Amino acid sequence: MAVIDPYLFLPLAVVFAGAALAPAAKVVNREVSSVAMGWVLSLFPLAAFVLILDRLPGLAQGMAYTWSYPWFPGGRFSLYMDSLGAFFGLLVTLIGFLVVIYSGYYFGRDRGSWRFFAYILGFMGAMLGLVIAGDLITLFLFWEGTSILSFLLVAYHVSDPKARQGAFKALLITGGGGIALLLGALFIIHVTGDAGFTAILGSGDLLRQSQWYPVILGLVALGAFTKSAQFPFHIWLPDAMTAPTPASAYLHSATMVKAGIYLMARLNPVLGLTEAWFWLLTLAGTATMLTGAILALKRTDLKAVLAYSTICQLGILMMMIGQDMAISFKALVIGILAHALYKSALFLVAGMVDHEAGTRDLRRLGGLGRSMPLTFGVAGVAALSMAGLPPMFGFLAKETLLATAIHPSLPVYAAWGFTLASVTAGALMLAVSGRLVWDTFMGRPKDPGITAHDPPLGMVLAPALPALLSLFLGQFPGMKEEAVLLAGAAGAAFGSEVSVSLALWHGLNAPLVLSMVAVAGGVVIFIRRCQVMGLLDRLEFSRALDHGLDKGFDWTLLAVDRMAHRAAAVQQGRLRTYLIVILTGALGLVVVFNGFPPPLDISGLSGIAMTTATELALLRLVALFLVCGSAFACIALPGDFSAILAFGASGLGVAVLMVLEPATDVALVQIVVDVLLVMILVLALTRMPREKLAALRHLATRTSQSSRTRDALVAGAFGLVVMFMSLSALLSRPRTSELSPFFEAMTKPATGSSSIVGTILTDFRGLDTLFEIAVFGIAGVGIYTLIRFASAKHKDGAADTPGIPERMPLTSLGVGGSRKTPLLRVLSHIMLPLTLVMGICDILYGHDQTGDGFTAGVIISIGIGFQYMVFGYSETKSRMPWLKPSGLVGWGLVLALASGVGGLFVSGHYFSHADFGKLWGIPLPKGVHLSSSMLFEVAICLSVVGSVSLMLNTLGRPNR
Amino acid sequence: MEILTAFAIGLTFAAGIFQILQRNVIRSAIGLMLLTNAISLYLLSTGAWVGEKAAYVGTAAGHPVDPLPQALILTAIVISLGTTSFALAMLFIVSKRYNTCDADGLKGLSR
Amino acid sequence: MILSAHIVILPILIPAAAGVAGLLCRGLPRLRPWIALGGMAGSLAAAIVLFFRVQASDSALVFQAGGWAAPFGITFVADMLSAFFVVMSQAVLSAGVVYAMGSRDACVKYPAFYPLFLFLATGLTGAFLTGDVFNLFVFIELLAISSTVLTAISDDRFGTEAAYKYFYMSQLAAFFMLLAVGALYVSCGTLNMAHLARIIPELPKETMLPMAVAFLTAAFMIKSATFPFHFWQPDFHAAAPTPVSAMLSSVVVKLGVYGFIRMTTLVFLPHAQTIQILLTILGIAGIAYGGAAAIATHNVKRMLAYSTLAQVGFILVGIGWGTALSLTAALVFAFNHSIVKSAMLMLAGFLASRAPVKSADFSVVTGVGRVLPGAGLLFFMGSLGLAGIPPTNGFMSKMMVFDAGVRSGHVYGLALIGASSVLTLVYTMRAFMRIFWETSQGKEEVKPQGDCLAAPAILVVMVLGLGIMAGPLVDAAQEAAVRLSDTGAYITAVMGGEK
Repeated sequence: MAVIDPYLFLPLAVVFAGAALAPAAKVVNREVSSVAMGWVLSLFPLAAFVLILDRLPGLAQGMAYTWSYPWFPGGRFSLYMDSLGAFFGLLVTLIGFLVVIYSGYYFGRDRGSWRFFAYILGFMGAMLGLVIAGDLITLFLFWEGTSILSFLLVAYHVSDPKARQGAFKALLITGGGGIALLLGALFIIHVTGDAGFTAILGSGDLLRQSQWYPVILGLVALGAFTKSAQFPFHIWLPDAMTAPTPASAYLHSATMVKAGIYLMARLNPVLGLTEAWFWLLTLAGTATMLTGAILALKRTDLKAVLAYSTICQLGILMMMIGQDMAISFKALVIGILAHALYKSALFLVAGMVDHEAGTRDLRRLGGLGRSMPLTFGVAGVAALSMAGLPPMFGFLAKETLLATAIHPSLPVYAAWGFTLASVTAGALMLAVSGRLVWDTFMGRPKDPGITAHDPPLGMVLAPALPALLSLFLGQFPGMKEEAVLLAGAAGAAFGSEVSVSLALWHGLNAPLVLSMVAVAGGVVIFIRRCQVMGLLDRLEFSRALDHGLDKGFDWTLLAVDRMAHRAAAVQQGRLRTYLIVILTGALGLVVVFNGFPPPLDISGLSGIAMTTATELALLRLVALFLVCGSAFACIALPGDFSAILAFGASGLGVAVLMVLEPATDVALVQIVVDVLLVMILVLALTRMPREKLAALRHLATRTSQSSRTRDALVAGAFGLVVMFMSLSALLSRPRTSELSPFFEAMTKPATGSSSIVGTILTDFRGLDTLFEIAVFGIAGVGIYTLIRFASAKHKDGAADTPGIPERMPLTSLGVGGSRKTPLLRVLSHIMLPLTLVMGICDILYGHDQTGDGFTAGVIISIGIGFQYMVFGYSETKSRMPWLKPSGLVGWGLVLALASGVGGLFVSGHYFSHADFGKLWGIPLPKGVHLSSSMLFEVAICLSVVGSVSLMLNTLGRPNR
Repeated sequence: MEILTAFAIGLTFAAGIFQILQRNVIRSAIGLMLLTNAISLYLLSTGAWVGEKAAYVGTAAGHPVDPLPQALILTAIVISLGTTSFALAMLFIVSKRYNTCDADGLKGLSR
Repeated sequence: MILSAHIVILPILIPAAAGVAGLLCRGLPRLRPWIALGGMAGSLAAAIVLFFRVQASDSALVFQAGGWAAPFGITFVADMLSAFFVVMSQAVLSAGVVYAMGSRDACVKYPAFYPLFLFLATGLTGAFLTGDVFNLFVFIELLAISSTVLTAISDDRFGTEAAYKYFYMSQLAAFFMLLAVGALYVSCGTLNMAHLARIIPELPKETMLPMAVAFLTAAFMIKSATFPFHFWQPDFHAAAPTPVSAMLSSVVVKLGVYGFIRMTTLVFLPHAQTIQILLTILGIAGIAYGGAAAIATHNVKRMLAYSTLAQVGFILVGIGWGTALSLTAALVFAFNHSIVKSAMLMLAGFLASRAPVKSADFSVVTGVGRVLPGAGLLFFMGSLGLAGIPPTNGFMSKMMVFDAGVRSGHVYGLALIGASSVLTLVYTMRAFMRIFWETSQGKEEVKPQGDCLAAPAILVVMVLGLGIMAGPLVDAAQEAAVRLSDTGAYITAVMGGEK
């Protein structure tokens, strides 16, 4: 049963504290040596180890400790330690302890080693957290943590490209698996309704019967297989050997690669014991086992050999989990323990050999036994255990493994197949371990240049301890705690009782026979290893096994890159294409929502045709033809200037139509805007590079026929859509408008003005106007900043364009004659005051009659623009020193924002109407209201004047 | 008459679209403005009823036209006036910087 | 009383006022940044107050501009959704001002820079808060013009070209919106969102309403750079000045997201399903496309811009699945993405500022990071956030989207986005390795000084903080999503009267 343990987080906290201490120590004392650091930091995992040991008695009685802390809604950060977790936890901390000591010596004088210590202790914490995580989300958190930290550890020598590639490969494969695992975990949570293991472990049948079981199985297995380097995902493990040897020893033999094993063992009681599970794990395991064994024999790099033998071992373990017999779980836990002990020892030895002899190549090593007796001894013991010879613990491991190889409930061929596979693997492993020891320590030295001697004792201690353990556990198999702990772990993984005895001798039985066969085979292979290796090199199959998958991975990555380049090439920089795509997309949306063709009721159409006999109607007809004609001319006319004029004509046509609506205010604005736009266009046109413009004439013809028809089609389609929309708008009149009647009714009483539109703009929808003016002001300021600052900075010839020479008015642009005629002078002299008066009246009376602040502003600034045209830039400046455009914009906006405040005080609403004239009883001529709206109009006028004159004078004369 | 008005709006809009797709940058700028004109007419046509007089209170008899679309048009026109003029400034800078007036020549940014 | 109503528009008015003040104090260039900072900070404070008041109220806070009752005047509505987005945007924008103050770009010294920045803030906030379709158009235009100008004046030579191209597409969006506004007025006779939401369900079939929906969708798809409408985005976000691009790619793209949520949960309920299907498909397409393009591109800022394409795709998928859970996930994702993406872009800008030549091209910044361990740490954390690896906030958002998908059983969708999200790991880690681990070919020295790291540091701390203490954020998003389902409350809060 589960009991809450308030201190369960302590082991974790201790290890992470160690990780944090590493950089801190460096900050405190830059000269601290790696060795000292190693010894000090090794105390943290040791403490964690003790803390876990301390809980064994409780666990022995079948208790499980839990601890949890709320993380996010519906999610906890929780820990859960049962025998399985404790078993792994002990391995992690014990071997961690040794590795940290070892690293101290390994890095010796390396000043930067604090980074390594921080990473490896951080990794240790993540790994410990993974095995004592209390729910799937917490498990995933630590799972990803191990991936990331192994990424940092593998790429520890960042300048080495191979290291970076190896790290990236590992991260990519394990990370991809991580995403699968996350999805799987979420599905499990969805089915069981709880993320905690205590709950999940209780709902096995629910999971096995749920419709999502296949999905869950696939995703979880993908996660576990990638992490535990199962075939065909094992390819990242050998490449990860670029990591510093202590890291390889720790991550890639003892701990991280066991994460997948742990996960599957943890979930076996709820997901396992099904056909799918059995076949999936057994086949994957077998394939991995054989791959690892064969390739281990082929390799000549010490670490590579160890890596592949690890893969082989992982395959065996995965296979064990697949079975549904108690004994196979006994084999599982014993195998994990044995492997962790001898493999870490061997890795550390390999590190020492590399460190001392300066190479790991078995073809150059040899005969080191004399010069490195201690190392030799350690290696020998570990290798014997790996070979599975008595009296080593590894022997027991192999025994139990082979015992499971005879599976009772299988078709006979399969049973024999698996048995055969296990025996072969056993034989190969024996050969490999023999090779390790022999080619490194015995025989003749192949390379006289290599002079090596034993490393310091402290360094030897690290591999010696596990090696001795594997000897000693084998010798005194009667030990209670281990047995009980292992039994508990096996039981947790199996889901029910498993009895574990560590006795080596079970009498003469099938397993013993099989293992004798394996030993004999192994010895033969070892003696004939040269021939065997030669054979393997010749075998097409083994070569494919060796390089094929890596090629596959590289090819996949390459394919992804190709696809990526295709995707990026879509962004080819041509604006017209972008617009075409977007427009087509919009048309597509129209079709999606309206169907094709969109429904239109023409019922209103009949009868309206008669009512067009008035002269107004004729005028309207003329205007319509004007609009259509000028729109057409805009396209047809070859010259840009004439096109601009055509556009102007169409604008006037629009204005006439507005007058006929009748919508006088809009018409007025339309006219002034039209004039202004034509002015600005002409200005811009004259700024263009002349010769380029000449070239443009032919552009229209140079665009390919197909693209022009395409454009025409899109344009036509949009024209039809808009025509359809306006037609159905026109035909459905009269409609009910929720708003307009209110406006008509309220305009007079609420604001005392009689221009409904004006009132809507300044009162009902005043905030629209406010920010509209902001937009307009920004445009002016923007043009100024762009041309005066930005393009000046980029020196792109825009700022110092000879556009129009100084003092020479725009007359050269076809606006007037070639030089200032007296007429123009007179005009300009009258124009400005005139426009000013017009503007002021416009504001004063605009509230009752046509016109508003905006029109006023534009009119005044047209006057100013005329000055610019006639007198040129600097003379105008000298004539009108009071003209500070951007200041005008600013003050206008201030006034606009402020004009709303009056209403705030009068009626408690920002931007509500307040008639100060009435309020304070100021006598005013009829039709003039001193009101908030009036202030607003003034504000608009100011900022418009400012903005427009900014535009005109920057565009009119861009150079300082 | 309605059909004609709608046709005019549609044609102007189509012309605008066709123009912005041209390689001549000036033409494409004109296209934007044509589109603005078309949109104004379109909004005008969304008035809820046929008015007999301008939207003023109590000057003459008859039902004034729907004022709301007019207000919207005014705002829209002013905004697009501002943005378009800034666009022209950019056009001018860009054509200087790349020394071309060909829309397809402005391809500094791709991939 | 007065405050409680006006608090709704304070986050809009404060930056506007500060912007105008910035325009006026041409004489005192040193003062301008501080005005901007003050404005943003004030606006952020107002936003936070607003958020808690909305949370306290049962439905939504409403401000009727000028005291004209809805639907006649312009209504500003702050429900949980708006408040959520406003707090998000103001927080990130404040960080943006901080970065700009420490930036060495030339453009931040232009007199108009800070005012424009503040008007950008105004437009964004206003768009989130307004309850009127046409007013929404006005604010979007304000946003568009200020961001266009800001990009056009960038130190990057290509800034103006990017702005020019963006302008055309955003202008199309504007036209689409106006077409939609007209169609809405024709078919419903009103422009107030709540009023529309009340009218639309009772409308007869054959009206112009579908046209309105179509064009509004198109407009928001352009604004949120949804897959086939995205062309402006990589150029625009990469070429803008760093403090600006950090805003554009983080909070400004969320405008379209907000629009879609409003459309599908309030205004166009009858058409919601079609929109949702579209969003799911296009969102997944965007995730794949953005991830792939980010791998292939040649510039860190561009890479991050493409990655925005992908990440917005996640959000759209969340909206498209349309359950309360997936909406919550979308909101959380939106918030977290704003934080992490702005941080990453600022870091990219920082690296560019320290590079021998001021550029974020990989050819330039490769190996620059080897002497910048601090930036390396921040960049690594940010990359984890983008890739959605715990304990960053990115993990929270990714997990929540996955969870939403799992609970509504979208297996194929999940398979696609799961596979595509491996791409994120590829480009983030590759970029990290190139910048901070590889040795550069050229021998040029790394510049001794560059932009200030304070702003990205703050944001990265938030990235971790929001991952480790995700509670408050997720709760807020949850409440926002749950309240969205009660349209009646919203409508009543605005229109008054019976539900």
